[in-house]
Amino acid sequence: MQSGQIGTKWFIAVLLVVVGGLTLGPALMLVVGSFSQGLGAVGTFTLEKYARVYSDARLPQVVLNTVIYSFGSAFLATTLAVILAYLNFRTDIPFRGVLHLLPVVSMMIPHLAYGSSWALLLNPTNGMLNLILQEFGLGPINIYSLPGMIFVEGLLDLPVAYLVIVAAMASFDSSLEEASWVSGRSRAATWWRIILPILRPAILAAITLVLIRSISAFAIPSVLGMPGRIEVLTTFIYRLINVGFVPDYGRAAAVGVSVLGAAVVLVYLYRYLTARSERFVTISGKGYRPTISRLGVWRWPLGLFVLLLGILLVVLPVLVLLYTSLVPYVMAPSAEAFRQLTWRNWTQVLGDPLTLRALRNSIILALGGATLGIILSTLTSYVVVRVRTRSSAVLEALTFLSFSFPGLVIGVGFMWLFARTDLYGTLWALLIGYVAVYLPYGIRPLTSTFIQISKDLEDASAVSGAGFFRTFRKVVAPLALPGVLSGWTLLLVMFVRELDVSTVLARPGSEVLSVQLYRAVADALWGRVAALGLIMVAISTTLVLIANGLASRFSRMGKAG
Amino acid sequence: MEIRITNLNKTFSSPDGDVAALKNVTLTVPANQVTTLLGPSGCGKTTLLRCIAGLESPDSGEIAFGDQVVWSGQGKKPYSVPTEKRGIGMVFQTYAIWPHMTVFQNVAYPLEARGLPRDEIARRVAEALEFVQLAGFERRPATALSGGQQQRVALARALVSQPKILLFDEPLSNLDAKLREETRRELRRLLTQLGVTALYVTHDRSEALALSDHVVVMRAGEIVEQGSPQEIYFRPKSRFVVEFLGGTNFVEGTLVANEGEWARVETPMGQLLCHGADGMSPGRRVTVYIRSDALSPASPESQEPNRFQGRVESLIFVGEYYDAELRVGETRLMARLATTHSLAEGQETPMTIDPAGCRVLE
Repeated sequence: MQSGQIGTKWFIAVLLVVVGGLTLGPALMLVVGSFSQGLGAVGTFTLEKYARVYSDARLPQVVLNTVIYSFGSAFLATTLAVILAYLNFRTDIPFRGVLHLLPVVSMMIPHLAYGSSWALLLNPTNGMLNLILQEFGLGPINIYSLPGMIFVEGLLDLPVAYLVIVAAMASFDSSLEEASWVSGRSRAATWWRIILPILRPAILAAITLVLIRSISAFAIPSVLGMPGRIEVLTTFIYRLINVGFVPDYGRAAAVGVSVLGAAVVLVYLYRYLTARSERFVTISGKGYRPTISRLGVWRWPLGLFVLLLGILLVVLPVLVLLYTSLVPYVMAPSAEAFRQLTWRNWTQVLGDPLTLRALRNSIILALGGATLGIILSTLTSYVVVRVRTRSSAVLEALTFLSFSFPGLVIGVGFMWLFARTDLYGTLWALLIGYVAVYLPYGIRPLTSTFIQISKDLEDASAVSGAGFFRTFRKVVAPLALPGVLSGWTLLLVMFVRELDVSTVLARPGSEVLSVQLYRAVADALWGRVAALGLIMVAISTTLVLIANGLASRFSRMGKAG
Repeated sequence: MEIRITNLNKTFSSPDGDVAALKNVTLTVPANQVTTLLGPSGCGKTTLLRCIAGLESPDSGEIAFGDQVVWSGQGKKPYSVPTEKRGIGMVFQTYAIWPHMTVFQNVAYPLEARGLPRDEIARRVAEALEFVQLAGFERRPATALSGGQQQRVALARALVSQPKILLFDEPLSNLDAKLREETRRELRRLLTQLGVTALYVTHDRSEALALSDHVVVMRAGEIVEQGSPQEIYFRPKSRFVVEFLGGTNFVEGTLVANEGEWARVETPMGQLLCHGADGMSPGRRVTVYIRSDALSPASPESQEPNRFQGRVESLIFVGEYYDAELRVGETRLMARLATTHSLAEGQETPMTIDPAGCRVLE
């Protein structure tokens, strides 16, 4: 027993060092580097970098743009999420399948490709939808604008907000609503006085989560913001790093520290809000059953709205990419265009040795990163859920910290961390960066898995004479397998399309697909963008299908055993 | 105000086919009394209550509060008064106390919806909270209440607007046993005091008997029997009601004589003097229900009717009485015997069955 406890202690200590190194390491490097003289991370103390970047005349506009952009996306995504979650859980809405599809799609599609497809649809000169609108004497709608960027980012973040709202809506006792009707309040008044206030913590949590993501979003601002010279903090930082003869990491870090600071504040706000939201919903107690209310005359209009949203979010962008990848140059769909269909973009992309190397690198990173990430996530979330000591609380706080990491910013910290080692410019650098930034996405599904596994099962193993590690291997791990697999799948698809960290850390030889995609976007080679984007969607889909196959096989084994 | 339900039908469609929740239900809920809808889960009692509240829409039929029709399936489009316009009060199974409000705000809500002036609201909320013995809890957040307190806030909220009709959807099922019994007694007192029309849904027979003036037993979407608690308990008509109320002793037999209130039934254990065979003709096959508290050991010299020689198969002491299994010939009977008897397992004993506890069922 004594030796087992000591073993556990060492185990937690090692985890603390690893997770702490992955999260605090790059953050500290970023801060230290921003205060140091010279190009490296460590040097004489100076405020010069801050002085220079914060006196930049463009900065106030950039900050204002960032605030409008991220709040706009957050409100759009959350509003849609509340409406859709309510329709899905509480009403007899038709086309329900569309609602289940929505969260999956923006996971699979690279945001660069998604943004590009909207640029193809709604750019002011020859956007395909704009051409149609012109036929009716309308438009053009300019997607290269703040509202345009907010629209696309909001759609991409909708699934994130949706998942947060759904969690609250699923445990929302419908008699809370009915009690208000019985008390004499109309449906509309009930929305304002009961439904929205009860969902308020969840709504605020969703807004906060989307804020974090859109502040650190780089893909959409670069595709849709840069052409219209609308800069936000991430594109501002990117220009400091990648434009000009000498990359100015120092100034990038000085701005990045503020972005990181804002994100950290938001993350802990989010954590506080979700805890509150759970307190609100756990009140409902036993005997709860959701009731479905009839939409009546509104049923079909609302159903069509959902269908339209599905088409807008999923079908249209994918179709546009497919079409664009098959025409020799960007043109509106016409009989002429369909006569000219060609595989040229595909053969060019797949014949390019650089792209093939990026393809190989991306797959290696996705498989390796997801596997490493999920092992670390499993161990960490197990300790966080089961071992309730001060060090496990510290561990939990650390993993939450990396939730706030804007990839582009923390990438600079990693770069400085690796600069003096052999890791610099290798795939290992990317691998470590990926695992560090996306660790929370592996930890979250596993934490809920471990909470569901009764402690008694482990105690029974201990009573039978098994030690900590044996219990973990023989009892805990097999039961947690479904959660492990779903976390693994999530990390896989995120790593296939990872852009932010890769933009900073990829070097010649360690290119990945998203960086290649970014180059094609920057050169406005839309046919290539489309082909490459679809290839990335295909890779994610294949990996998800394999993972699902594994999951169903394991679950069958579980039932047989 | 009475509730009149006429030919109400409701079908739920499920993946396994349609389920009829209510089949042509016709019922008058008497005014200013407590009526319970009693039945096993899935019998349609909650569906009926929700239809009355307007939370569920029937397929056909009519519901009226007094003279005012609130739902009618006649005509092309059903006529329906929406829930918020029906002027009812309701206590939900989960209480449905709004977690983002204080006790005061929860109870004041129906009054605010009716647009009452502020001081009137304050006065009536105070009254309602006094009534449910929660005075002084006004400023407590709803999340800081115990189950029993939430239940009383829900009651205060339901009656604060002085509705003519109060609906209860298994409001005690989430309380623990001891609290449930206390609350039941208190609820009975409050409802008698209020004198409103109360309709109460439960699957708990003792709750139904203890609370109501009128009990309606339902099964599979239909009303099986209704009457006062005493009628339902002492003079049930169907085996379903007996079994639902906990009866276990049934003896098959043939009706041999029907003499006014009393009837004689020939059974495998001998002839039984029973009641409840009104209007049945001799020669008919019947089932006799024997209440477990009707059996008792007899002194050898007594001349009571329904006298049998039995054997004590098992005897379990459960505190207030013995739970005994008796055998008469091939018939096994469960009996509740007073602890004053000195019996032993395996003992042969003469015994009597009180004819008042023997009832011929349809």
